[in-house]
Amino acid sequence: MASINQRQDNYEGHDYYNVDELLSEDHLLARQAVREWVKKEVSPIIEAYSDKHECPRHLFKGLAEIGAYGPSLPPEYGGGGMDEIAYGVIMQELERGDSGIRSMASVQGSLVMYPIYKFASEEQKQKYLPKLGSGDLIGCFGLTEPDFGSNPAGMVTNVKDDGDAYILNGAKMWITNSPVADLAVVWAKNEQGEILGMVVEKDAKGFSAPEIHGKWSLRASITGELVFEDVRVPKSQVFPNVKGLKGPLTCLSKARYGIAWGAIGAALDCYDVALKYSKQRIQFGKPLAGFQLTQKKLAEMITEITKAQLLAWRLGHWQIKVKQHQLKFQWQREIM
Amino acid sequence: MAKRNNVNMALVIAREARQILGGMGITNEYPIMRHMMNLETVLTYEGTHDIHLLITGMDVTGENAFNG
Repeated sequence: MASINQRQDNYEGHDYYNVDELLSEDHLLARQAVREWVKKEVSPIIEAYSDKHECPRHLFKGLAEIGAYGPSLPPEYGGGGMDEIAYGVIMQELERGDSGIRSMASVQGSLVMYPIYKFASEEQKQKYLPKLGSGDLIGCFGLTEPDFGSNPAGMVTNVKDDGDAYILNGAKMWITNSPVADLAVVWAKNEQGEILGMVVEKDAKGFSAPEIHGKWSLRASITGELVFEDVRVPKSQVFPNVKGLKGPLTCLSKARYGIAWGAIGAALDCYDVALKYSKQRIQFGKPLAGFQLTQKKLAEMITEITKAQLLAWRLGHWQIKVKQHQLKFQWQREIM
Repeated sequence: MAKRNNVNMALVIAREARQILGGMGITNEYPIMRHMMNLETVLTYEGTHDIHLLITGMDVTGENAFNG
């Protein structure tokens, strides 16, 4: 059994079709900065934290410093003021380090800051977004329930009108960051059966967020439940600008776009390691890289990575174009 | 569609890369097994691999296959 090592991380990226030519100077700078941060802060510790099944909480602040929370949101709302491609390349580099680290950032940016930016009142935005962007507050996103995963419309978490507040009851499951979060963006049904979004703070009476243990995946990312027992949520905490499943699904589409980039990072790291190993490992008197079956694996890997890079780039560019022409973008559509 | 394709692509690559490394591929001396295990979650969360197929299916056919 190998000991927990401090990995020598010499990753420099792979770009078989010169896709970098499609990126701007800003995109390349953002990518380089995150790549260096991952080598310095993530690679040396990630195996040990994964082994311990523990979240490296000290990285929440570092992720804020490299601009990983809401890179494409406006700076006055805690974002980075960059475009969707910048957001994509940042997610790619984070996931090249570890999907769990990318998840920490995805949730904060796409599932907490984005819905607040998109659906909250100006007062709610000012209250939360700058502190979320700087990592002074950590958020989580509660949609999935123990009995409602792919069918969120069936959710049983609900609110009842109680004058100037709602009374929230129910439970959410598989919530990234929940045990360490200062606030949760929660989706619940009102008495009319409409889905509302709201911000619940961690010290609200009747609210708890127990950790889910025993995961063999994303072990360096903390996951938990959200449990609400007669939690009083002031109506001023409810998002005024959205009703229905469209709200949470819009956020998920945004996160999914980041995942489309992120997965390329994980694939690139696997390819990078396998390519280097195959050139060094000698069997039957020659490097593994010299065997046809190894070459088939490596050639197909770089082919698939290249296709994925172009797919993600196209999706990002499409959104930028839509934004520039102020067209309505169908975030909910299948393209994410 | 993009999430579905790219995550599945990454998972297949992780498995192939692990084979190139042989036994060393399953150890924590290399990142591959960690990525592979992580990607099993990524395949499922924020819209599963199967549901995303049905969404694309609905988009191209106009027929909803969600409810059996």
